[in-house]
Amino acid sequence: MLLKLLKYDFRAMWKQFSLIWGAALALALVNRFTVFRDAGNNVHSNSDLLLFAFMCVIVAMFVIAIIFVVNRFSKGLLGNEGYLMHTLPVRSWQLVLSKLICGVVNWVVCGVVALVSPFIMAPLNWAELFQFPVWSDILQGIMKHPGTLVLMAEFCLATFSFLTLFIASMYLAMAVGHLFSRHRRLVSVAAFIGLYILIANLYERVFSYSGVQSLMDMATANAYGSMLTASATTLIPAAVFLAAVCWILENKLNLE
Amino acid sequence: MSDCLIECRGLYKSYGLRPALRGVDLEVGPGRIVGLLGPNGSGKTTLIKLLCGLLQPTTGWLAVDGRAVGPYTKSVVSYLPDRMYFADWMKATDLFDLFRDFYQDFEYEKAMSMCRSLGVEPGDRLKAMSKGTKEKVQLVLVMARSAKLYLLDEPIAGVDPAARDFILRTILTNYNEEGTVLISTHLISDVEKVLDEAVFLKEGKIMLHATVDDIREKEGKSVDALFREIFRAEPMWEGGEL
Repeated sequence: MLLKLLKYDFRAMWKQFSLIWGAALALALVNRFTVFRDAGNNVHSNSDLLLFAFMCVIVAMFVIAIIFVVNRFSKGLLGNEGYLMHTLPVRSWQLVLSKLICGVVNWVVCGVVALVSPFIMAPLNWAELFQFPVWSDILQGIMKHPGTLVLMAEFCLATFSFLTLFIASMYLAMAVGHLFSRHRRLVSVAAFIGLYILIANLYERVFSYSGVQSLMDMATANAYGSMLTASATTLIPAAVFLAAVCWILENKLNLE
Repeated sequence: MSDCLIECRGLYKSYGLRPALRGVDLEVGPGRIVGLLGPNGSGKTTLIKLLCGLLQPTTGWLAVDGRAVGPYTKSVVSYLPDRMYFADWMKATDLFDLFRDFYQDFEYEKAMSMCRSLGVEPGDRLKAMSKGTKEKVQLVLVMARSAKLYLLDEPIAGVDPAARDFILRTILTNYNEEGTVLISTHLISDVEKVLDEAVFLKEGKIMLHATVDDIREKEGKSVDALFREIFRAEPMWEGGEL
């Protein structure tokens, strides 16, 4: 059932973002032919408007991505669409997990588009870049230092964990707001700020214990351990928040 | 497994301090058309939402097809809410795909043929449809299932008498006859002719649960007349007191 839910969440994401991702990449490609460097290596463009449009699309993409995550949860599970979603033969955690996975993937893809676009714009020689020797050298370099791959994987995990915590706090804030009959949005914003303060204080207090400090010193003795520790310490509160969201949806849902 | 399709025992639901249902005991068997009748605020929608899993009871016990409300009961309940529940960017066919994916009893071909007979173009986007057409799509989604329990919350409220007949005809010609249809409404005269049983709800309590034939035989009056008698509001006296 989770896969079926994901299918519809990803379809909704594609409907909304295919155009904006396409526009960002297309504008980056167009700018590749209008942006150039002078002798002093300063970037110039013979079409400032196109460059400005590209910047606007990138900023808009991230703003829409945040709105997307908020709306998919608030309208999809706490609004009128909830009458459909909560009567499907699935568990609440499946509904929440599907939205969460879709939200994280959405933000990651937006990040990838924002990172890839400058490379498309840069006056790189693509023919050279796609030659086999270049990739062969890169592969050989990685094989000499396999730890780099592990570190990259851990970095990705830490990024996913951070995004998960951020989205989970947004979900919990909206779910808490939903418990109130009036001023739900205002309460949600207050709850989000409250959760941020709570996490900051909690981390500060937990890490001040000498036992925890010793454990942390051992775990973060090298970069590998540091990344994993960062992921774990981020995922634990995220899991607690998501459990709270599921409990609220299961027991305190009121779509009126 | 119990013979009852719906079983409620001491069902109590409150919103904050305000009770919506107060100790409801109800048993409904399969293959019945039941009217859930009561004035606004009597608890009809709350009871239906409890049955389809949109609300949890404050206290009491509730089962559908012998099971506590959960994914199984949701898979055998077809629910028509009193509002639109779909995203505007979708087409009716997208919703049919979704229902086919999640409900084994959803009949895609039946939905398409219902659309044709109701004059709905299933390939159109929902945002391009009128309110009435959207309501038809929602009705198609609900009635194209061979569900064990149909929960229809005010399906004929807010439409003209001709449309009421049309909606009721659509329901009667498409429901699974082995299943039970629970229709909540306060427009008794329109649904009375199709009902097997009537449940009168008043201020969160069941006032009466009987077959329509029994009501006519014992009370010597129609369900509509009995409803008016029970729920008649006292006129306001000059001093403002009731």
